[in-house]
Amino acid sequence: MIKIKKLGFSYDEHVVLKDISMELQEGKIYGLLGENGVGKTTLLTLLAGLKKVDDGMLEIDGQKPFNREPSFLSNIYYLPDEVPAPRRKAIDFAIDHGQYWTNFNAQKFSEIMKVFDTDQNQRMDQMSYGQLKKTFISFALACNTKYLFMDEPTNGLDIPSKAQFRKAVSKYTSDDSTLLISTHQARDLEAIIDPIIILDRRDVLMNASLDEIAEKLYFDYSSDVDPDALYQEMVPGGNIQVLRNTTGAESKVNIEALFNAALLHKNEIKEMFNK
Amino acid sequence: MNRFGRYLVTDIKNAIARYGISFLIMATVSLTSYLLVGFFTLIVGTGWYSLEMIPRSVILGITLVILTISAPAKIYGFITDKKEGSQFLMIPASSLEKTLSMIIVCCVVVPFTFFAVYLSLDQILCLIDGRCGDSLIIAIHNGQTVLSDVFQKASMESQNIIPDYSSFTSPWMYADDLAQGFLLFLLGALLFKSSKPAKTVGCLILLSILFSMIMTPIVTHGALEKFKEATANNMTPEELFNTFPFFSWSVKHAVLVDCISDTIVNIGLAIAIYFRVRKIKH
Repeated sequence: MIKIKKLGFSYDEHVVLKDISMELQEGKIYGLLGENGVGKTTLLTLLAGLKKVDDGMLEIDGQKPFNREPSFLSNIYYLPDEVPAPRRKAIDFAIDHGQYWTNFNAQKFSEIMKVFDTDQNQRMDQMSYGQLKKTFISFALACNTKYLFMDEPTNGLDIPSKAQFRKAVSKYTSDDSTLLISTHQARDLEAIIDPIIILDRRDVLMNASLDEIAEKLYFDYSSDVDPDALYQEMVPGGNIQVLRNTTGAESKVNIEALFNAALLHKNEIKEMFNK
Repeated sequence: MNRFGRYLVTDIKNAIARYGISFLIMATVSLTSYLLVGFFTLIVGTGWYSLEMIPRSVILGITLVILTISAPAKIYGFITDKKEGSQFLMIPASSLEKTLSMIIVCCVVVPFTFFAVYLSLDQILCLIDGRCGDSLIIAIHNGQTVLSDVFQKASMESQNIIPDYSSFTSPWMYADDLAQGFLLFLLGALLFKSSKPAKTVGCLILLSILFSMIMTPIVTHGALEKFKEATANNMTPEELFNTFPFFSWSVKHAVLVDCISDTIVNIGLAIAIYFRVRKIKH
């Protein structure tokens, strides 16, 4: 379990995270949403032990990430937005590096590479950015870690690859794994992320499952405009409106509309989901 | 194989991928310099010139300096890079294992492989071309014998003011100095984000100036008065030498002082590297 209490982090004088508290349960695929610069990447790097917490507490299964104990590191994998291009064949890199992660499965790596339609015998420094990203996604999933943190994994992927990514995550993530995926492109991950965390500047606006969201908010796709809507956007064929769910009616959560509604009504959303 | 063994193997593979070609170029300088000089003299019409032992020794020295300065930055400089450094930090091995592996690669694997290839090629060249004179291996051995004799003689003639430095002529005496060079540039490679060797050299110059400024007054404290006193009292060189107890003791036990000081500095550098690996952030 990931426990974060009153977490604070600054780059010199610039405060990025302040008083952030949340708990992440095991076996779920969390979507981490937020505007540019709210600290999504910083939070992921803190979880991966690449940075040291300034204030507050951050623990993963009782361990402090920055200590970077091998027992901790073998349980996590962090996939950054920008990945390096080693001068090696993808399969050689995977086997050589994968040996340090107890549950790494080379067969699974090869299978995911096939799903992505990427040649595992190609040298990584000769791959396109998208191919390289897919190789690292395959490696991350093949490590079979208990915690997997991904920063903008669909950046640089073409449209078919985004669908392949969703397929790979759904198929190759074990039930007890916890994934935290940060993204700007909520639509890319709509089908796989649940719960949703919306990070605001120095605050957590929401940490809720799709069921909880659907219970409190109603997503209306009709063409009638409601003046009380928290958010309203015209789309081809009608509108998307986010309304307060006063009747208990069921609706399909639209993550992008939810995110925009949360940004427009920060205090109300925060109060609604932190009750 | 245990985790450290596996990590070391991966680290050596990584070193080959990052520095293999540069290393090969440097390790074969004995051959390339022999061929280049030979062909050049042939082209300019003076006939084939075979590089003799002394220029070959100088070339070895220069190549060794370049190797010491470049290898750590090329092999481990990536650790300060956000993308590659993050991957390195996330490998599930302890900071101690990572540090030890780096030190073994830089201070043992690289120099030993370099000497093995370089000296073997030089030996083969000397066997093929008799005009090259002694090979570097034989030269090192002979030089050691000659210097050893000189030191022994000097020691006897100076009535033991100058101690017997013959053990200083063993090439093994310089292994810790070589390791120190690699450790210094390894630390530099981990501390600086760019221009790693240049910044390390700059820091070394600054530290040397600072150290000299601090140590000179301490070592030469009261020296002028002692020299005046020695002149007035017609002191023998041995008597004058003994009026500086710390200095005279250090000179007499130079081999021991060298070993102890190098060991302390090397341990200090290794500890600094360990803490840098442990505390590095991305």
